[in-house]
Amino acid sequence: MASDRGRVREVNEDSAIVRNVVFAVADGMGGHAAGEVASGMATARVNQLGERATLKPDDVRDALALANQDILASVERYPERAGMGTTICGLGLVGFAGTQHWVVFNLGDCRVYRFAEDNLVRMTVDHSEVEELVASGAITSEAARTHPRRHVVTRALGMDPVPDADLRVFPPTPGERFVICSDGLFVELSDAEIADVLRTEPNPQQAAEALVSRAVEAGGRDNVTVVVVDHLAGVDESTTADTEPRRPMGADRT
Amino acid sequence: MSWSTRQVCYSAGSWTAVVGERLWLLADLAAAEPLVRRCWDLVQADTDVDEVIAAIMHEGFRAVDSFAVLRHHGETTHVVIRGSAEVRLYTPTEEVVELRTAGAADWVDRSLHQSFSGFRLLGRSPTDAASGALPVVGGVVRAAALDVLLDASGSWAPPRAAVPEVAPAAPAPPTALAAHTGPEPAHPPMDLPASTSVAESGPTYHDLFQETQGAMRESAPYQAESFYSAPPSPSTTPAAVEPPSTVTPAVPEWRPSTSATLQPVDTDVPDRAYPSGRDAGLIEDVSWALPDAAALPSHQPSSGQVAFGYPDPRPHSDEAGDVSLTVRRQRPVVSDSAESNGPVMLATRCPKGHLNASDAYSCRVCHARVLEQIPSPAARPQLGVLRLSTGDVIPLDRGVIMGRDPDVPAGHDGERPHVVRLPSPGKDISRRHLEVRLDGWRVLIVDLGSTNGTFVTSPGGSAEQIPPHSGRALEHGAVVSLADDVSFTFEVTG
Repeated sequence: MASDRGRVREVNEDSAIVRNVVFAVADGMGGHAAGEVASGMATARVNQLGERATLKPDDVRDALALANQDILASVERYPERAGMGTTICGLGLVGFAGTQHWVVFNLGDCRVYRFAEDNLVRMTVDHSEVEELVASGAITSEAARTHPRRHVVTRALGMDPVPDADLRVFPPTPGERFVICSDGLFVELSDAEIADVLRTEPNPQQAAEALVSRAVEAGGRDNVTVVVVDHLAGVDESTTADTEPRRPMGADRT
Repeated sequence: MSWSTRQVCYSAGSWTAVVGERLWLLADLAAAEPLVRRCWDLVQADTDVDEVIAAIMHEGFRAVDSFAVLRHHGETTHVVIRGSAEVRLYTPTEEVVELRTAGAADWVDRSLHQSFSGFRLLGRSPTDAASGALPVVGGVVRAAALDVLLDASGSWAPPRAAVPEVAPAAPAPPTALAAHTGPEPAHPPMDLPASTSVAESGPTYHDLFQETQGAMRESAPYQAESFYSAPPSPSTTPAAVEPPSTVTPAVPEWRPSTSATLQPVDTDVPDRAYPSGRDAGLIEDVSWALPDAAALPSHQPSSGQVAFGYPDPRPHSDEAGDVSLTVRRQRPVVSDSAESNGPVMLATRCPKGHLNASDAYSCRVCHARVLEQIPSPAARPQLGVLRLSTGDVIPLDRGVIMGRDPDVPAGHDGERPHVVRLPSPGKDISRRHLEVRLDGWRVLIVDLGSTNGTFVTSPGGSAEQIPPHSGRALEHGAVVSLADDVSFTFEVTG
């Protein structure tokens, strides 16, 4: 992972965790370093998931709900933190339906991209005003990157009641690469520029650092946090062979 | 001769046709009615069939006894028919799928996922004399039939009854139309390939595609009581559907059941009791499906019961229909509508507060009667869960693709289903075996052309193999089996 303070903000309000089975980026919001508190609480709860032997998708949802509670409780205790919150998104390896699956989770406007077969694809939907404008066709996604309200999120941890996180399950594919990032990255770099870096930097740590420095060069007005995850496992033979047909069904099937 | 990409023709008549880009309506309406104007606006805006239906129903069924509306978008064709209208769909191999209702008060609602080269919407009106077809690009015309040709390269032309040629008014007359004088194409022969049908002696394909039939009642003063604990009244049983006489061919490997009628949801199931409007006891654990299970300490789950995070259902509240774009919502809102990931659709609410389709007769969750109301936009909630035989639970906040080795998932644009890899050491399950697709307010099971098939057992019924590439609506409690060892149950959620 790589993180940079950017050129404007003093305190890095982003937190990131990289664990065996869960990766996440949280982007805090709130004045007086409160954002850092919030993002730290979110990553702490998700961090605990990495300590489990087995992980299920609903464990991720539970962790986010607990983080939300933590943040709300903290605001009650320290009223100067009122309004603090954090977005969060990431990737976890879960056991599901008898085999391993990825679960991509997202709450807010951090993103998870998947890079496979030379193709960069965004796996998450931003919970932000500009995303809704882009979805409705009012503005283009290019215009969203410079839109004055691009930082307005519609969901974040620290809201009451706790908002829904998006969870999406899919099986792993060897050779794939994921980028988990805060909005500081994709506001500065286009998808093409991100894909460019991923193609030229085979090492994930160096790829993350390259992405951060390019975003800062482009005029990083926000904190930029990037995690790059490479899936290197071997191919599982049993999934790719042809299906064995059974005997045609007869009258015995009722 | 060259047709443009899409050609639409109509035959003059006493009904009214509304012609859009991908949506076509033929209704037994006088053209001067304000409802026609409303439908024209909707059709032009290429809205969903559901909204056009909502507009029609808002006027009450008295205004429109019969109509057919068809929307064609990509691979999906959605058809809704009421009364004496009829739709014929033509495949590129010149086979015909005919859809019509069984009676005056019935309606038919189908989603078809195969390619067609054209459609014909027909109004059965005894007063219309046969006439030639005139081209129309878009608009509202008085018509008895509407022909839509999708594929310009094929030689197929909209069939019509043998009538004298009528020179079209357009400056460039399509000669393919003028050249066609034969009668309507004969119904397909019996030995069709297994992927398309079981041939039958009748003209319809009722047991090919899952058929949704319901008997709609005219608007009448409704009782405020709910119906969930009462046996079904006679008015709610489906209109009698005479099973088409079928001839089972030797070729296909599956046999459809002639009793494949989908029951309307308020058919009595004895073990259902809804003391508080929720499925207490039916759904054991949907903790994955419930976002705030841990966040609402005031709602303590009893042992073995589901930990619903939703507050007690409240009567319909106007504000829950808003889709707010502001940063933080401090007011508590009904979480299903405010925070759902689903698309915003016109919705109604049952007396318990469950969201339903704009034309719902009874609640899809608790079976209470949905009182007449103006539908309002709401984010569609999670429609249910799939409980796998492996023990896992998949939430239907989006569709699901399942198989032994399904494809890489799509990006955030377009379809974003869950993709689940299933264990199949004997390779009985196909790589891409089936899809559970959310279509409006319905949950459809689609076999993706699997080798060994997909079998659905409705509650109280027996296992039937579903034909490939055709969406069949799942009802609560339906069990879907892939291979002998992997199956899942669909359970509806509010």
